[in-house]
Amino acid sequence: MSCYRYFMGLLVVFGTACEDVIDVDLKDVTPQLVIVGEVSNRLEDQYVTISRTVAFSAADPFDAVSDAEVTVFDDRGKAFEFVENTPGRYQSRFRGEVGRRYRLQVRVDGQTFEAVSSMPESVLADSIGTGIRNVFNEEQKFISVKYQDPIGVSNYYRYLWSINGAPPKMVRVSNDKFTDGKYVSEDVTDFETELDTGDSVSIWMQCIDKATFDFWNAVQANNPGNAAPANPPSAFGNGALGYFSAQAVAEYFITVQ
Amino acid sequence: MFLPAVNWHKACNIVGMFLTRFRRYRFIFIALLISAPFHLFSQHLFTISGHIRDALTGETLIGASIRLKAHPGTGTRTNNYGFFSLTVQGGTHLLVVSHVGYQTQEVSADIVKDTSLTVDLHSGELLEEVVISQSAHRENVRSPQMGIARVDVNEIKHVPVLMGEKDVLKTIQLLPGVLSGGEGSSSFYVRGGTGDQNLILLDEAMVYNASHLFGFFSTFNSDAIKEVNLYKGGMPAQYGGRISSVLDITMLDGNKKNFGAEGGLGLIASRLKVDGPIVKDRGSFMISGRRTYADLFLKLSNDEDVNKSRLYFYDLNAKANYRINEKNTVFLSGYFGRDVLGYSNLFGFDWGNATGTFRWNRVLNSRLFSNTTLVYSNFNYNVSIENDEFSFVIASRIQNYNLKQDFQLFSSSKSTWHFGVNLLHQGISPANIDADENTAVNSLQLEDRKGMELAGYLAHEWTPIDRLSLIYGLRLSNFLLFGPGTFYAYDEEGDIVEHTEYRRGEVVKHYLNLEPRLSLSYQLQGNNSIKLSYNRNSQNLHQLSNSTSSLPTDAWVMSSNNIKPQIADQAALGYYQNFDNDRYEFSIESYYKYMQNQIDYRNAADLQANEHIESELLFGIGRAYGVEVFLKRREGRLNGWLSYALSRSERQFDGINGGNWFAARQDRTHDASVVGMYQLTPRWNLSATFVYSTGNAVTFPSGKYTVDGRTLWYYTERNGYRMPDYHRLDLGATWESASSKRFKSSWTFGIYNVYNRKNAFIIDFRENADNPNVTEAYRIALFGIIPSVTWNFKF
Repeated sequence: MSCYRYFMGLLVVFGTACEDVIDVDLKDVTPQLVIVGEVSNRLEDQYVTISRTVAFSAADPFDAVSDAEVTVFDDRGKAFEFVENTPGRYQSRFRGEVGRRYRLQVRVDGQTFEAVSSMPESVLADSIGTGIRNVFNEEQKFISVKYQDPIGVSNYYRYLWSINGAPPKMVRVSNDKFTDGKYVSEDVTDFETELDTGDSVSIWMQCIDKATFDFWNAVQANNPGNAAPANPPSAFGNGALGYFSAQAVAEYFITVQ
Repeated sequence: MFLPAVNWHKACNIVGMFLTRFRRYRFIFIALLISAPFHLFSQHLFTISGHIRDALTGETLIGASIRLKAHPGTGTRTNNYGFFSLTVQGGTHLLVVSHVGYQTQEVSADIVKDTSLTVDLHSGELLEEVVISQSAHRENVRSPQMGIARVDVNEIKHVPVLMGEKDVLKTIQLLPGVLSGGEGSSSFYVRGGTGDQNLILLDEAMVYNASHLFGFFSTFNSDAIKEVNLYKGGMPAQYGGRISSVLDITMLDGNKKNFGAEGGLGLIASRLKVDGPIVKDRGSFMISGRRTYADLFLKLSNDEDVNKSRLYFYDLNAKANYRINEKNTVFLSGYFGRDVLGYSNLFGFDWGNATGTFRWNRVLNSRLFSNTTLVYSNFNYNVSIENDEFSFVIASRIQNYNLKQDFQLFSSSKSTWHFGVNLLHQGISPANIDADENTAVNSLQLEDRKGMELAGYLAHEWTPIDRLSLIYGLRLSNFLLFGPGTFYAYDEEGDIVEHTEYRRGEVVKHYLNLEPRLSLSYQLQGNNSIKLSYNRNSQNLHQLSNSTSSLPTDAWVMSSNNIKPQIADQAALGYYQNFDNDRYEFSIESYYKYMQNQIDYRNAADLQANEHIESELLFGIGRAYGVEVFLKRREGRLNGWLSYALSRSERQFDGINGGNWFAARQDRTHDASVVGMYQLTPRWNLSATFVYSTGNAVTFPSGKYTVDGRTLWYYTERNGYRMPDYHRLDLGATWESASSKRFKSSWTFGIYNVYNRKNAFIIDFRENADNPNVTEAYRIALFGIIPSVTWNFKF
């Protein structure tokens, strides 16, 4: 949709388009269960969050679901019990392993939800730096992450960043549909954030499985020009939303030049 | 020359099968032929044939009426080449020749043998003393053709439009049953169909992408256009290939008598047309061009990136014709248009259509007219990206070669036969990536696809009794998808089940479609009639787009082992009446349309450069129904029309909305337009257009949730919400400045969206910038009030 953005940009430049906040009367619907689980290859607290959808106008978008039974099994039959530490947020400390297949099982209100995920091979960046580009006479800085994409396999990546200690924020997901086996330079940037010299940035580069990519790709593809927006594909049956991702993570630090 | 290297053995088998089926139905054709009136062989009948033309320019007139004054029921109309043939009893006849926008003329002819006759009509208002009930002004009531909307090119001049760029496609959106593709858009939807279901023909060449600059301007430069006909239903059997409508646009032939030039300077673009005789009264040419110049302002910038940027489109129409002798005329016409966008050397994007048509008209005898057409049509786009890490080009092309042979047999004054064959070769080269060796992107080569559509048709236009006239016919088409290539089959989830390799020319899949067409009118009194129609249409070329606006990069696919032809059955009933000596025209039509094998997409479908694009598709059914009302005042100082449509368009897909029916995006319950033109003084013409419509059906979230600190929207229903109602008033004024006989000029002023209504183009949802826990809806309105001015000249 890059040309769509380009085109909307042109209309704004030519000053014909205008934008304002309006009221839209949205329906109230039955809340839906949302499960999000992540297991990484680092020895750390692994989290599963369980919540329900809320009305669009609700002040807090997180409606916690407590007292669920949450377990992750690996493909050797080992079970990791998760404990609720804050409402709706369940944790367990262990290290996931690359190549292993994990199964998340959630029991809540007498129903069971399950999803599986295999942790992909880790791909590491071999260089990280600050890049600058000029867009319509304006300097824009971005973080450039360079890595060698493994040839012959489908790879899916997810990038998060934290600027000056702010909570981590997802930037984007990408895949190697067009770059399989290439030395790739990924520009980590979003339209809303301006980077300044001296900013300290943490970047997480996650290697994720296809289902997790499909989930986030659907989210990032949902732009206003989409004719039929829909919920991202869920890893769980029974109508629950969300995903379960076993992911190989690498974290990098950089000071913006 | 244009046939692919097909496996002829297999192809012949298919053709054989086609003919076998045809044989099975041949008794129907024979029965029809037998029913043709026999009295045409009678001794005392003679045929008057010839052309009707514009007296000043020699342009042939399409659809002009020629009738016997003594027997108004005996008459005919000129075909697309201005040719007519009328068989009458020997003797002296007074013929009434008329055409909308021209002075009616009476011609006395002493017919003692087959006679050729050319009538030149003068443009201008009708003379009061002429009995207009016999004129072309009643054709709308009398003609059996239903669901047709004819746009008068002169009207287009006065209707105010965005940026002052007069536009055929925007004018037809003001007719009932034709919906605008969106704010300022030249794309259109007919009777609940989608944009790719419209067959858009320019001199018989299929135009794949009829818009410039993402839909805001149509590719049709009105200076070059002679005639525009839109069939919303009851399509004649000679048209096929799309299920929603046929928009048939004919280019001007060029002035056969004198050289002339006309053009204009507008805010967006400038135009110039030159035409004149090649050999006086025998042949003429016309060349018309248009180019935008927004990019010229970019050149003024000091910034090197900006002044090297590109942003423009242009159109070039050219046509030439030459009458070899009384019986043979040849035409050559072409269109070439392109959009070019670019930012510095970093990014380039260009796309456009090219069409070429060669036609050979032959008058085989005074009753049999033949036209042979050879058409080439092409649409392609290129994207180039060049920076430190990337250097690659994406290119895609779709093209066809089309050979058509059409005959018209004017067997009697009450009976005309249309029959012909059509061989269409369709090729698609999907988006391919051509990347440098050292760049971070791989080259990607998707397989080309080739198909062929063989079609034959027979239609009979017949007036069995004075009050009743009908057109009935049959179109038979066989679509063949050819190798070479790998063709995949997918399961319900879109996963590959099997793949098969096909050799060059091997038939992968074929679909045979039989399409009956019927349209009839029964005249109640002289000035009113009831009309009925039924038509089946099929479609083997499909455009895939899951965005709200059509983009040049939208992929095309043909019917295949996975995609079945789209089929629509439509039945319609209408009442037509003219008032006040045909000064007013009124019609009300209702229709019901059932559509099979409609296409939608899986959630987050990947439609770009995807080898398995067919796995991303979902198939379902559709229905559309409605009532359309049209009232027009054709002449006088105040003229114009009111149009209103009440309609519904719905879809059902197993994988969408829980299998329940849902409103199509373009389902707009009410759609109304008012168009008025007023001749204030001989030099001032004022005009106004008001449009109102229900908003599009749209999918909004009915809730939200948080994932990883990010708020996501929760959707429960496809198209379960409505955009706000759309309405807009535009004003225009044309001032004819003092002119000499040689040189005429005029100024056209326009105001788009006079009361600056903020019609929502997009409604989207976001987190509040200051407080991310608060979510809000916002709207983007594209065009506020926009004035325009254009200077036009003619000499």
